Amino acid sequence: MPTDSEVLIEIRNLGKSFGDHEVLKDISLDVHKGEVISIIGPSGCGKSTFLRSINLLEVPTSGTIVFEGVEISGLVTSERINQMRKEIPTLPKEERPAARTELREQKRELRASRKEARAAKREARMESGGTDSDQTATGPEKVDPNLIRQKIGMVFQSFNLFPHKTVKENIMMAPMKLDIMTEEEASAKADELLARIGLQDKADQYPSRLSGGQQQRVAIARALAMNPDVMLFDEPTSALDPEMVGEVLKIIKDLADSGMTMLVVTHEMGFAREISDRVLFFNEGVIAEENTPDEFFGNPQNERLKDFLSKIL
Amino acid sequence: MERNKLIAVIAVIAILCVAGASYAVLSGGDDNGDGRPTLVVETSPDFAPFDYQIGSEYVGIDMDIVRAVCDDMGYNVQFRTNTFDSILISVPQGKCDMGASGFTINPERAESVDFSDPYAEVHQVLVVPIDTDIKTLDDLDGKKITVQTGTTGADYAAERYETSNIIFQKTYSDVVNDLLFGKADCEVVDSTVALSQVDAHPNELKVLDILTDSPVEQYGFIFAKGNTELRDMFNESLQRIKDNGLHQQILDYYEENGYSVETPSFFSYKGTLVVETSPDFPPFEYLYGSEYTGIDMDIMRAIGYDINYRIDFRQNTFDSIIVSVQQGKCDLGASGFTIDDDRKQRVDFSTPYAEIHQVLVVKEGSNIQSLDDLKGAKVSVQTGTSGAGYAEELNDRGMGLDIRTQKDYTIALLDVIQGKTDCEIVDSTVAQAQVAKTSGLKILDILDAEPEYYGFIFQKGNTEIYNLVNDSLDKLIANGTVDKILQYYADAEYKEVPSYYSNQQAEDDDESEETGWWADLKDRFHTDFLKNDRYLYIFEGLKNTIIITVVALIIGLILGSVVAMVRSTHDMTGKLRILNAICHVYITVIRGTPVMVQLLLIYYVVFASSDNGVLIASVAFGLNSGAYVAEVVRSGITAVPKGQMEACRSLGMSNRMAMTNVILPQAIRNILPAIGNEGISLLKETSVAGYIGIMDLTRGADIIRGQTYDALLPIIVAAAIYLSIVLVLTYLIRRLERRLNRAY
Repeated sequence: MPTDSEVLIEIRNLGKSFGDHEVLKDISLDVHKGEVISIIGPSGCGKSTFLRSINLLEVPTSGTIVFEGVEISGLVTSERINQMRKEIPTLPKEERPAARTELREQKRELRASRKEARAAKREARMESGGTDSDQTATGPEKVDPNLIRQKIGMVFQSFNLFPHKTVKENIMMAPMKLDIMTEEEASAKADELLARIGLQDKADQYPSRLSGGQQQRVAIARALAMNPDVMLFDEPTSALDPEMVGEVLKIIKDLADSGMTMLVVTHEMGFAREISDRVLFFNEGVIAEENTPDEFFGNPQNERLKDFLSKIL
Repeated sequence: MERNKLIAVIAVIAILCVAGASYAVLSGGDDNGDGRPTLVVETSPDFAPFDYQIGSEYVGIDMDIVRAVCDDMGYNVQFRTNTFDSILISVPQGKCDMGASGFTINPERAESVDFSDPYAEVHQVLVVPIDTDIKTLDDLDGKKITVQTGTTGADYAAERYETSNIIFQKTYSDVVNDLLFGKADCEVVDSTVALSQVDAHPNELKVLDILTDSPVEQYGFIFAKGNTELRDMFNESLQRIKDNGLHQQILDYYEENGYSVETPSFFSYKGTLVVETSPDFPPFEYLYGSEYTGIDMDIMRAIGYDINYRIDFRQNTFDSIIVSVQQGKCDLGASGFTIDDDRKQRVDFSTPYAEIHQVLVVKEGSNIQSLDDLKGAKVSVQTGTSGAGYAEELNDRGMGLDIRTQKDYTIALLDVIQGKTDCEIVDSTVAQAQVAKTSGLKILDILDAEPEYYGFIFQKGNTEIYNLVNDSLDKLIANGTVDKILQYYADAEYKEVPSYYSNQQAEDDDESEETGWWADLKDRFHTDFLKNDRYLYIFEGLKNTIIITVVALIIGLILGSVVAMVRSTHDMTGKLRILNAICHVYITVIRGTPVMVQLLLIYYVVFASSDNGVLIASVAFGLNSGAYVAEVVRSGITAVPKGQMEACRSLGMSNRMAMTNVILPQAIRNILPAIGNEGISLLKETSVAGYIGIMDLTRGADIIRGQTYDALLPIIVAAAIYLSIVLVLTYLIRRLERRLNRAY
């Protein structure tokens, strides 16, 4: 049972506010290795925000996230610095100087950690005499957020493929630029992934020539090229024509069957029921209900969930 | 087919540019091809005061006498350096036409070369260290003597003294060094040269004129034996300059200056005067071909000859010249300036040199006969002139004139020709030139304006230049030179003739027999572009326009990219706050003011002391362009969807990696066509550069218009050139867009 395996992600009391608007209130969750968790709920209830907080595209306001044993919610990223900078004018006057000082500190930390990361990378490369595809933390104190993100793959609702690169180049770019694979290795990996998603013949096409469903499949392959430990899917089929939804869902199911740890935000209830180990219902910033698929869809407890399901199913 | 058309168009434009550029290069001051042959004269320029150099210029008694004689013969001179001995070989071998190097005329030499008539006389003297103990000729026994090999002094010493006591040096500087460093006790040398050497070392050397048995010698120039034709021609001219006193003047000149080696050539300019003018005002200033011609220009030339200053003419718009003079950007202005009290507050005027009064120019069938007939008439004048002022005055007296003020008087005349106004009020002499050039007009001398006088304008308080020029002007007025010049132009009926000082023959006005609009068009084309090589204005203008556009675009691209980087970095990460503020101010100011105003500000305020118009214009337009480029680049980056950055970040790429590999390449696709359009705008904007006196394409066409009174053809041609360049650029941009779009 997946819930018996190790905990990859430990989320405790996660909270996120945008100004006065509290989107996430108090989320706690354990994600086990190999688990497939679906997240459903009404619009604006914070599902996407939750997902984006895990790979730090959104900066948590409160609570902690521990990923593979490393506390990541406090890491200094440029997203965090940007957010702090935007917030300062909204604070009451007395609090601003302290906030500014903290901002300066964070900037300094970011610069320092970047420098260390570069140095460590250089060292590692010299020592191992080639690319090192298994880098984790750069040292006992400083953790590089970019390295964390390399292990968390994300698939977006709007695909976000690089339009000026071919399909194969899209898949190969990140591993090569980050010195994780050589060109040959990246090419081989891309071929493998393209075969897996059934788009080998599209390898040298530009994304604009592909259908929506094909583009999303490429996006999945691109995320998989980094060999992530976790995959996050943010409404992967919401922007697709109904005809193409199926081909994408198939890929996601295959991925789940192969043992990938996944969090999927979706409106496809049937799909969620089929692949998930657990289903979560988000409402008003909290996890309102959490259960196995059969219980969740067959015997909903929460009033709001009952209401929601009756409208959808 | 499309591609070939493109190549053809580009080739045409390229040829135009190359032609313009080569014209500019070739016309850079060279006047080869003036039809005069050249004499090659060899010299050893180490023999002051007869032959020496200042920088690369050959100076000295020999050099200047050769110059004077050759000028009289009608030859150009080219000097060439050689050692003293070698010249004596070079000349007989015909490697040069003559030798001029202080050669003493003696029978031995006369066996291998022919001498000119003597031009100077010397005898041998001693040059000694100032503390020498030599007093008489006898003291020389046993002393060490240094001489230059091959000279009379060498022969003199060799005849009388032991050769073991004589040092034979190759050059005079070696000889002098021997004396200075005590290697020799004395030198035997020609008297004049001795004075020059001592002048250079007044505290170490002195002359002892004690060689009583030294022969008196004469210097002559040497020619190849048997080249009697050249030698006789030379002697003839040499005699002429002896007769007219020039020869003695040259000798006196060097003596007066103590035979110092710093004395410049007798014929060198004492300095340069930069004179600004607006050469669109015949008969006072206009361009004949590329030469500044007219009453004002020739009077300035006469002054230049009188005070031995070189005159550099520079063109500018009439209004801008006063400002230029006030700011000291030029030495004086000569552009038909009427002396009036308003102007006197800003500049100083020379002595008046010409008198005019205001007259009317009307069409031949005009009804106007007296001053009263003018009541309520439509009148055209040129802005800022005394004619304009007089017109206002008439209105103060209740004449009720409808005054049309034009930027220049050729447009004012055009108003009359086209019937838009009844008459033009303009200076009398100019009126005569206008009427001489255009048929169907006449002059009415019925106005009661006070007579006016023209003067040159100077920077207030600059007494040095003022006195220099004005004293000469007074002299030329008194001795009748100015009258001669005025008469020359009057005799030509104020038609456009070459300068009073030039040798060119005036082109005959070709009266075409054909009539009809086609013939008229051909005729106009000939007058506007072919006559007097006027098409060169278009070429020069096109060259400058392209230079300014290209340089400004480059400046704008660099500046704009930097500004865009600063602003988007600040937007993303909040760094560079102060730099960002500066960029913000810069963009706001540039986009909030007209480019013309910016150009004026930069030319008259920021670069007030510089006069390199093309450079200043390039900087001004570059600054202007930069602001727009910055916004284009910034919006190009912002236009890239936000999801692209998120995708990069979620893959673990750093900000910099994302920008370089994903964001910027997509941004460039947005930016490049917009930059191309900015280039096209820039090209057209440069047409206001003429306002600060630069000859760009528009101003080139305008100058032709001013000379020929034909507004139509030159301006249409200029427009056509702009249009073709823009068409080519547009085509290229579209090709680029298509190529960029191809991928996605």
